[in-house]
Amino acid sequence: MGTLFLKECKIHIKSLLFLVYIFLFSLFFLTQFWDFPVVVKPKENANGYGWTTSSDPKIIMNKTIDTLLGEFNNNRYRTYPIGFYKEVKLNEKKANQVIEIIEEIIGLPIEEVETLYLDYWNKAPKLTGDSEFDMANFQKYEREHPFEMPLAENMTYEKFADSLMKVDKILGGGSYYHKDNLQKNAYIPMTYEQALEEYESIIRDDKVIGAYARLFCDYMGLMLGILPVFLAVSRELRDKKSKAALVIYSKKYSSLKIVFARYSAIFVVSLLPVVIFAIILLGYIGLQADAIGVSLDILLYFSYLGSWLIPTAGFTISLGMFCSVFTGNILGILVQAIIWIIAIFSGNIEGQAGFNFIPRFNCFGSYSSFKTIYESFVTNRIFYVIVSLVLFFITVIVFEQKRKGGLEFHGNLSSN
Amino acid sequence: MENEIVLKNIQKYYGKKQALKNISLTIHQGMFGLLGRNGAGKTTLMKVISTLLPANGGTASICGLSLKERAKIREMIGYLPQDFSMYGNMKVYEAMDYLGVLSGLDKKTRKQRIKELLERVNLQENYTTKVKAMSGGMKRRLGIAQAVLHNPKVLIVDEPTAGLDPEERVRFRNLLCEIAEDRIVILSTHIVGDIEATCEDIAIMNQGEIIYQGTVENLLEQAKDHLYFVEVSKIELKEIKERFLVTGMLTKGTRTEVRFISKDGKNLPENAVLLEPNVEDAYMYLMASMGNEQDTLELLEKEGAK
Repeated sequence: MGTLFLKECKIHIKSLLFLVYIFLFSLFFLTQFWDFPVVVKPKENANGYGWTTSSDPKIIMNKTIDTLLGEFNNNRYRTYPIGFYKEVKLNEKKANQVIEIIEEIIGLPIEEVETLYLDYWNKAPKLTGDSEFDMANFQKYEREHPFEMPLAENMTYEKFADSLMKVDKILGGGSYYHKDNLQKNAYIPMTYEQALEEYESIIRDDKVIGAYARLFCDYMGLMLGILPVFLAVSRELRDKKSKAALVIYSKKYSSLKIVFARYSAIFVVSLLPVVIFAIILLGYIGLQADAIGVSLDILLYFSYLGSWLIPTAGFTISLGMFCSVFTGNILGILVQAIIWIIAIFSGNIEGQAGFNFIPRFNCFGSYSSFKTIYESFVTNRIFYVIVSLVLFFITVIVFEQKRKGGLEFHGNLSSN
Repeated sequence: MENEIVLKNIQKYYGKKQALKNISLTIHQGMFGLLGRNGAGKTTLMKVISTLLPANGGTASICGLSLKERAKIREMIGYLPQDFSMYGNMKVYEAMDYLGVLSGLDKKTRKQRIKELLERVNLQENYTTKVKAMSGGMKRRLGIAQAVLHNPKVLIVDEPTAGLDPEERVRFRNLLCEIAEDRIVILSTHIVGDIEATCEDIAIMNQGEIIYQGTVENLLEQAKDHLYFVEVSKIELKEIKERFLVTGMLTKGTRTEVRFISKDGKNLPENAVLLEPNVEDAYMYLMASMGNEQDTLELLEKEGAK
């Protein structure tokens, strides 16, 4: 079977499609690579240290109210109802329902709420056109004068979340007011202490390499969630297009061996650019780690890559192969494209697994944050390995059925 | 292990349409021709024997194996489908090697057999020719080479000469005859000339049924005393066409030489003389005697167009 596997690899590597695959992967990697951060110890009294999200209910409530009032004033609400961005504008009736909810949460008439809100923002530093200066200036203002809106008496976090769920419903769902998304509103400037702790965590918990590995996996996962499907679908269509299917079906090799050789070849060639870029990145990380005096934990690096990316690639290839073997057309690409779009547009890109086949963690460091989703991440990865295996074995069965003419309505087996 | 194929009451349906109607056949070692027009059910029958299609009824023994023993049958048959090709970017040797792997041959055997077979099919100069650059005839020769790569006991070739030029066709027929020396070769075709030149035992299919099984000699015997020749004018030709099944015509100036079939030998034109039938005449006589005269005429027109 090893010989067939090598021959299958050769078929892909010699194809024009693979060149395009490598080109797209390279393009994506290089555009992201230049933005890969440098690990530098934060300096005291710097203008800013970046941003973080708070898990403090008080901050979440204040920031969410801030966001809501901003969107209410402009009557432009950001939502992602089915994973796609959608701007919602409310009619008068629905806007009045939102007003009622705001008044219920804050315990003041809307006019007074608006006055408080506008007072705060009128005092905020104005934009000068220098983005770095504006950012630092604004962070300083936020640190010194955090936005605080009084809340109604007895307004607990639970009641608050329940009320905002009503707003989410009015907006059609997928908004920042859904109880699962409230923390996304709580962006706060990082303090020096927090930045220092983050730096130390990168060295202590991530040994530098782990932080880079997660960011790399986040980017590569996006590509592995879609590009390998083209290789998977093209493999089956190649049989059909070149009229080689019947001859191949008539040969001695079992369907399990044929499908496995094809699957594993696509799997290996799909991951080839990932491995190459991972090695390039490893050189870069080596320089970073050396400057800080941390030794490289290569095993940790490839553990992240393996556990993170193999299930994603495995699922993409399995689904693509299954659809193309079953239908004999490009349906697999369409199905995967839909799943991919939903996956990349849904959830929190800065730390989310759930049942999304592309787990996201688009931030550097934030080890403590990763730990909070770790269990869900592991469950997610195991789930997709199982799904991939199930799809693989179903593909073997379907392939065998086609070989013996059991799915003759899908092919051209009826011509005589 | 027996060296014959025995089919008993094989049936195949595509939805409600019955493509094979109780096919019973016995095929022995050597060349066996399966003749029939396009759509007669030949390809379906070939696929059933090759385990590429399931039969809906009946039993079959392929050299002692039932159709359910697919893996074993695939091991001992070689199949050349009607539209054979391989991946366009593959070179001839690579394509053979790939299919050799699928046939379970080890590297040494593959190397040796591929060399032998490519020489035998006269492709020894084309090891590095890409499949997409090959002519139709070259592809067929590659197809036959791959089909016998694993030295199968049974070789099934479906319409192998369709679209080939006369020279390629003759070369291909000869090749098949050589290969058939030590195995069963089933040649499925709608071209009577292929059968005439290569097969002793034949079966003729029509609308999913076997309407003849036996030797070419017996088929010719059936048509004996029913084939005539006459030279007529264009006006007389019209009448001949209306009354008889014309199997051949040759126009010479204002006169036309006509071969025609008469079932009963009555009301023959003056000067009509008996002829020895060839296989094509016998085939047409058989079709006509099965009550398919109109179909046969249509077939003749189609064949003439080819």
